[in-house]
Amino acid sequence: MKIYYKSNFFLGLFFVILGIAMLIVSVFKGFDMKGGIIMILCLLFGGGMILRSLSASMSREDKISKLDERNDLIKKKSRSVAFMWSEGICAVCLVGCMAGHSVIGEVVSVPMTIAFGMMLSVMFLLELITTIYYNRNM
Amino acid sequence: MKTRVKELRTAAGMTQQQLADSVHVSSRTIISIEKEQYSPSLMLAYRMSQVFGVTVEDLCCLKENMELEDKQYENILQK
Repeated sequence: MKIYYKSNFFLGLFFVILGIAMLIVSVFKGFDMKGGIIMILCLLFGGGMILRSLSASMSREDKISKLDERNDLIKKKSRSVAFMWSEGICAVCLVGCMAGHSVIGEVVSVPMTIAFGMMLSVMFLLELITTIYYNRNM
Repeated sequence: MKTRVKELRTAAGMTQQQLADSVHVSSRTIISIEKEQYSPSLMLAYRMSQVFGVTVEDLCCLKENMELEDKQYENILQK
C-alpha cells in the first residue's frame, strides 16, 4: 500500500480520527442529530481523502488540481470577495450595535460594539499590511 | 479573451483531457479557455502554442483582442 499524496492522506486521517472520536463521545453521552451528521460527514470526507491518496491516478488529479492556475485564481478571488463582504457585514453590525445602544439604550450592545469594532480594526489593519507588502514585493 | 484553442485542438484530434495533460492543467481550465471565460497565463499560452506548433500571437488572437481592448478603453475614456 503506497501513499501517493501524503498531505491529503494525513488530512483524511485527521478527519477520520475526529469522526471516530465523535462516535465514541456520542456512545457515552448519547446521540444527537447535529453531532451525528457532522460525524458522518467527517468520516466520509476523511475516508474519501485517504482512498484518493492511495490511488496513483486520483492523487495525480488532486495534485494537478492544486497546481492549476485557474483554481488558484478562483481561490484568491473568492477569498478576497468573502473578506470584503465580511468587512461590510462587520461594519453594518457595528453601526447597528452603536444605534442599538444610543437609540434604544440596550446594554448588551456595548460588548457587541466593542467586539465588532475590534474585528473591523483587525481586518482593516491586515488589509493595509498585506497591501503594503504586495506593493513592495510585486 | 478569444483564442483558437478549440479550433486547433479539434484539428489535432485531441480531447480536452489530452490537451490538459500535455500542458499540466486540469480539463476544467481548458473548458474555460475554450468558452472564453478564462484567459491563460503567458506560460500556459506558450505551452499550448508549442503543442499546436503555432505562435502565441496566433493562438491567442492577440492582434484582434488588442483592437477590442483598445475600443473598450476608448469607450470608457469617452464616458
